[in-house]
Amino acid sequence: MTEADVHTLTGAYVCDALGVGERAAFEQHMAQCPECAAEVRELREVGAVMADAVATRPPASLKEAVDARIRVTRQDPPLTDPQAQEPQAAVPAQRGSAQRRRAAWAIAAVLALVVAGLGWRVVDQQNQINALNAQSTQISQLLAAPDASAARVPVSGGGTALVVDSRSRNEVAVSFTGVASAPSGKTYQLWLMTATGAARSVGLMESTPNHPLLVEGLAGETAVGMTIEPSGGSGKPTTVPVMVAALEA
Amino acid sequence: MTDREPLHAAGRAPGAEPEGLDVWLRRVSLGRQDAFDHVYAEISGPVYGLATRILRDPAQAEEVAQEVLVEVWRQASRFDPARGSARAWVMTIAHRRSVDRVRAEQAAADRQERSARETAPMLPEEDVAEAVEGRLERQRLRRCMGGLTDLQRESVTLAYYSGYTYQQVAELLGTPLGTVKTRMRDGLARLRDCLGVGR
Repeated sequence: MTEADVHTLTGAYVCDALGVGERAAFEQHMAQCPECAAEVRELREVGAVMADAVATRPPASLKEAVDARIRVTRQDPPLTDPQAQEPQAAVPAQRGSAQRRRAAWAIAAVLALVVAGLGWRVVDQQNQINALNAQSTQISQLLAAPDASAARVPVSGGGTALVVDSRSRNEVAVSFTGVASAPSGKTYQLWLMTATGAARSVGLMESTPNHPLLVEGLAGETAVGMTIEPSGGSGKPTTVPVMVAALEA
Repeated sequence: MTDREPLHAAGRAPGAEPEGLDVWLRRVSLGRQDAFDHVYAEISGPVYGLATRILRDPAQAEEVAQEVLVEVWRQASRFDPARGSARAWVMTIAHRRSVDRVRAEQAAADRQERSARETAPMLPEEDVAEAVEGRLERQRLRRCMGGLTDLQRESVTLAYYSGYTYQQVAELLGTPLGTVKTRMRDGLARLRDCLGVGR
């Protein structure tokens, strides 16, 4: 994706019409593009009107369920500085699961990345922080799942990927360390792969983001992989994957 | 929902809503459940309606709406009025959650096979129950939608109300990817100007 292309994604981003990888890539771009952030902010007001236009009276059971849950839901503290995230990050490690030790180092590694990401972004872009924060909350929930499991796998060409997945949540988080940008005119493409070899694209990125990617909605896939594809991505993998990690069954 | 306040005035500016949803959210962030009741009355209709519209399954829509409303309670302190209206903040969460749920479902079912016509890219007319609450907004929006080109309107509505990716929208409309991306952007921009929001 060229720089000019990224700018035109504001509309698709506001409509949540981007894939997971593109969404993350756009958010990364937006952190350094005040014009994009301003445009997104404006277009979101249109979304609010579009939502109002389809307002429907919810069943009474919704209010009851929500009230029951908020009575037992602790509110997140306000964002003050990146360190404010630390107490939250510590929560998953306190659960008493058999997989605790296995997940503990992953929590440290993944959340260190999240917090590091927050650290430099706090300087200029609150939007990005909010997006990351929502994602970090979701990732800490993933890490707290009783069946969360983690693996670090090498990426061809240098660097590693840390893959944390949970079958009960049908989610996988992937973070990258020391992985170079895709060659010029190429893009990284992330895939979920089934035992029979079918692959489903979950997104494109020119360079590996410095915060973890969260992929939701796993549907029984057995591996996550990454290939280098022509710019714009491919319908199915066309090159030997540079990274493959098995997902825990 | 009970005793909903009269519809928020048309043409409100972000962060300057007459009854101050942002002010109520700040009270919610202090842990006040009574303030949350007020917020609930304001936003549960659009949140549930949007989830229903996107998911087309009342049971799933209720689940997603529940998650969104609990998230509003939990994250109330993270809302920043300098970055848009409270309503846009809530609906961004609601839309993201609904779409993520649709995509998860899509993984199993080949939703893309279902035609654009089935999901009615025009504004919803069919649900009588929807009619009352959002009437004013619907009228404004329908008028402004009428000012878009067909391609702008279809791109925006297929993405926003049906939860399609822009690649899927391009496929459905038989239009190049780049064109669809651009139409989503300039379609929304034209709606923004017509509705007088976001500036």
